[in-house]
Amino acid sequence: MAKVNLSDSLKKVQEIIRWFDNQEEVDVEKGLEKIKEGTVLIKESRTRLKEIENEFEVVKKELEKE
Amino acid sequence: MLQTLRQWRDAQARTEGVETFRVFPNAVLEALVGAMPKDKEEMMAIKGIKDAKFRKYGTALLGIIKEQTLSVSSFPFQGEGREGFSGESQTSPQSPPLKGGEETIIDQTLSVSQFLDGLNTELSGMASRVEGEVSSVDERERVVYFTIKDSKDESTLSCLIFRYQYDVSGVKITIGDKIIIEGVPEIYKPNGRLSMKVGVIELAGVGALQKAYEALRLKFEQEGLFSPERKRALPEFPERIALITSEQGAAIGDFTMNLGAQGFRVKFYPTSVEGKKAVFEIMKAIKYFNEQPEKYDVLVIVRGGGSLESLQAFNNEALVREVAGSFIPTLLGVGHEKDVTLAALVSDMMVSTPTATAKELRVHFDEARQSIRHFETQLSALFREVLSDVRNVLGTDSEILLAHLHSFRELVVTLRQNLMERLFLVRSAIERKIEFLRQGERVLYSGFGAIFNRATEEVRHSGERLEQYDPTRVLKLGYSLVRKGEQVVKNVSDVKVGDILNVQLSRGKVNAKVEEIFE
Repeated sequence: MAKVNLSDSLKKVQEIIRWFDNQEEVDVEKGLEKIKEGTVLIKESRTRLKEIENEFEVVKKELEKE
Repeated sequence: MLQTLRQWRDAQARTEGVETFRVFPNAVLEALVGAMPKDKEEMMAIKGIKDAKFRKYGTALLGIIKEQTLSVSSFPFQGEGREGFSGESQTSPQSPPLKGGEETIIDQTLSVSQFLDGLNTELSGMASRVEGEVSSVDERERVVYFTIKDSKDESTLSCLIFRYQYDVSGVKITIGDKIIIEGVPEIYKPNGRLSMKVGVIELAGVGALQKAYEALRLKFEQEGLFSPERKRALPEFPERIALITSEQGAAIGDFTMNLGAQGFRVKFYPTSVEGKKAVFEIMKAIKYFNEQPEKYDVLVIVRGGGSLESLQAFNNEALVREVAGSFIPTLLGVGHEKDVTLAALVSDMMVSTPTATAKELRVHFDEARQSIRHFETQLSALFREVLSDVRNVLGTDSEILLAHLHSFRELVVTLRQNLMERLFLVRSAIERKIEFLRQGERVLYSGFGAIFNRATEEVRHSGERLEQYDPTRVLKLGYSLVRKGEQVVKNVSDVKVGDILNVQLSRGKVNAKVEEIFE
């Protein structure tokens, strides 16, 4: 899976919500398309934001090997 | 004994600017106390001491052990096993006792050089931290020579420091400054003078430190190193963290504990965080990470809080410039009691504790989680709205459709009625026509019967009449029909004698030859 850019994804979701706010009358097909797009972005972001243990690497060990 | 060895080990580490365990870990010191080696062989039998370590520290260690064992302290390098001094092999398994050693020293005549080498070997184990007042300074291109004197009895110590170390110390000494030096004594053989080879110079006393801090702060301010325009924004979601701090102490624990599980990839370069050794190590670490700046999102330096004195490394000019010059955006979490460290002031972002540093790194991840929850709720509500719109649209459409259907049904009923009426009319018309045709048929039949009867009568009558004129009827009466060729003979003139005449009888025909004609 391609690397998720959280900043971009969150901005895109915000834009989608703003799009709905700006519509006087929502085009149903377009609206459903936007919701689908937003759902995918949220799903991807959620996956990235799942709790993942941090990796910890000590530099000096590397240097000692050299 | 263990205490003495530890003191020696710690002083040696300070002089070399390394961690104490890199000289000897505690386990080796304890093993030395347990074994009390008397020579190289016995010492090399201890785990953790190999050729390199023995070459570097063997002589000093054997000296300390012997000194402690025999309670001889007046001249610590007495005895055998002093390479370059007594001239005896260190590998000798049969080391003579001290007395013998003393006799050996006394008996053996050394050259001046040998003697000074021996002294220098002993002095190398006497790294010290000394406080005094600067009484002279001579700055050369590569070395700075200076002397410090005791404030009480005017005792004087000659010192030298290499230019690089002097510059990194960040202290520009002038006569009258009270300073603390760390170094190793050494005798310069060409003139026999003892000098302190200094590795670190620090200003002594809080007042002096404060003064130096203010001066340097002003200097950086004038250079614009603190200006907000220089500050780079840290990435919103940093993932690759270059971390510099001590692997001991609470800072590293506080930092890692508060990071949370965000999937950070932390590369940790352990360094000292106090004393001049810290300056060298932290600078080295910053340089190391900046060799490949594209590999890191943020360079983090953390340390727990402390006094101005304990945070001196972070106010060191060379270190501050290294932080300011980092290609990787910097985040400093160095605690302080009063003044913010200069390194923190030049960093792209500073916070006050290691814990706050960790929280700063994770804050956007936490916010993002909240935003995602919020967005999910919003999108779900929007989805319901859109669905509701769809339902409304479908409802209206179906009503229109039903109305159309109703009209259509009515139309169909009307058309059907019309059709039925028309069909009825057509049927009546057809029935009338059929009746008419039947009547016509009857008329035709009756008319045709009369005509037929009349025609039959006429045919019969004509037949009778034809029968009357039928020549065969006359033939039956005995008359005959005479032909000459195809022509019926009606007159004798039509024939001549000798003609063959065809005579048709009632039954059959005969040919007759004319023999005689009668007129």
